[in-house]
Amino acid sequence: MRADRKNDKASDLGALGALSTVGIAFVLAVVIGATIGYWLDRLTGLSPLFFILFFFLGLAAGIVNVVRTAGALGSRKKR
Amino acid sequence: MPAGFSASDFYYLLPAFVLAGVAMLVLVADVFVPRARAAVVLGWVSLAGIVATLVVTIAVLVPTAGMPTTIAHGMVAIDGFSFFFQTLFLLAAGITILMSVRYLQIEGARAGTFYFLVLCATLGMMFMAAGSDLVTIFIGLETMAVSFYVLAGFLKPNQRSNEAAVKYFLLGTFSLGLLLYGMSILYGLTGTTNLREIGAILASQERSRLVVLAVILVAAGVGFKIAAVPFHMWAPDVYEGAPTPITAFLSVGSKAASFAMLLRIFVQGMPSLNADWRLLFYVLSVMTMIVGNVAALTQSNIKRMLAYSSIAHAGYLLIGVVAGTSRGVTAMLVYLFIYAFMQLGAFAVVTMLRRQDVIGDELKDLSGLFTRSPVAALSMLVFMLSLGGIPPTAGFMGKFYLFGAAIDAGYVWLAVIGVLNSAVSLYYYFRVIVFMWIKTETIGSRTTMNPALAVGLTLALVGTLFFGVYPRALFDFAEASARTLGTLVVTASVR
Repeated sequence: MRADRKNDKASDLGALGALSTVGIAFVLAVVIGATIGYWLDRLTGLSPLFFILFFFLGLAAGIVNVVRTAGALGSRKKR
Repeated sequence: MPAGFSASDFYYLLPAFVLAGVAMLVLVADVFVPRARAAVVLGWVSLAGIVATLVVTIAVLVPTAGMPTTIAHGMVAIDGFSFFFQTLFLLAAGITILMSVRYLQIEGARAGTFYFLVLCATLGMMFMAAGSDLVTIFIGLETMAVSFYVLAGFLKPNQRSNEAAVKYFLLGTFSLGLLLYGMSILYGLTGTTNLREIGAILASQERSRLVVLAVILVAAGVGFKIAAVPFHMWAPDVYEGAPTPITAFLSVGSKAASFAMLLRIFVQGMPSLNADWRLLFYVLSVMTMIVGNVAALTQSNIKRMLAYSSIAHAGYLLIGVVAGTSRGVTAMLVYLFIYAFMQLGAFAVVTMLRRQDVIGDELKDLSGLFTRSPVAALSMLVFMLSLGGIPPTAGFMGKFYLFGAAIDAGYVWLAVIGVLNSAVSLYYYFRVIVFMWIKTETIGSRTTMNPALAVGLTLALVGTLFFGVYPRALFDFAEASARTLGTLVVTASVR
């Protein structure tokens, strides 16, 4: 029983750790995407095409990351 | 400056008060009603509340038809648009509650909290559609979203349900953040949060980079809620994991409310920038239709399939936004109404499949349904035909009108892509029909029809068939509502 409870706490903290990275990961994905897009816009002058495109790409990447982390979390909790 | 907060404001907000009152009543009653009877008793109480709210809404809002006004310092709009959507949300909530009664009994979940959250979500939706101010819309959005986060994870022992709730919560919060950021940029540029004032001020300003950024951010936030590509990735997992009646309510109510929000913010709030956001939504619409339909082809889980189908339908609806004309908006409203019935009906049948020994999510669980319950199989046939757009169902009428509006506005290629996608979608809708009617082996114990579910199913069926044969009433209703929204001046652009 005792060992079980300790295990629970460890996995909970692990879950907390993983979740806390998700926030910054999402924001960074969007910001990096937007920055690349903005930079490409400056380079080619086709504004704001690249900005929009890479913003959405960054957003999609961020979303995928969140979904994967949450998914891994869900299946880990089962154990 | 619109009129101050007066007694008449309370009168127009009566539907909201009634709904909130019933919600709290249900929550309190949950303590006193014995656990075993809770699902049924509280279900009927909530349903009575919904009917009462509907009656009050009609009584309060119908006399104002033709005189759109705003109340509470211009924060809540009282017009045909709000009325249309409030009716839609209340009907959807009613059918959802009917579906949930037996489901809650089988799953053994706490009924009182469940119904309370459904009513709260409905309340939030009502303000999303009736808000004429960015803040009101956001509050409504938050209320609805938080209720759904909890509802998605309601089946606590179910791991998929938990996972669905976590994903939905995380992604929902992030995209809400994006939406809020866009809204704050709009506030910064114009100094007001009232939609009409924003529209007027932006029209007189030059089109700056910052405004384009705001458009993109708001589109991203809204795009998440309607599950448009590339913001759709949460939908299949959340739809699959959430309890089936909640999936139904999510795919209908949340989607309709988000489209109402989209129309309010873009058509009322940023009409001068329509060249920008119509192009944006054109691209989103095409991607959404294609990805939604193609992904649905390979699904073996009914709920996931319906999730991707729902994504594809968001794509069709975006065509109406791109068209931008009064006819386009009307077509969207009509299609949302019809979509509510057929989607709720399809999920009602899936809910019926859930019994003690069978989860009922897979396509193979549908096999041989016509031998077990011909009524359910027949209803599902109608719903699948309607979703695919086959006459004489309402789905056909809705798509016909939607694509017609697109062609009317000059977007012929968009309509062509829409029609092609509809054709592709027939494959997975007919696959469901094949499982029900052609295959004869059955799995698990008998399915039983619960009276509440039967009523809900009948309502959905009647709606789907009636509007297919006689859509005129709905068209007129939608047209009058769309007109109160105000429309764009469409410059001729042939695509």
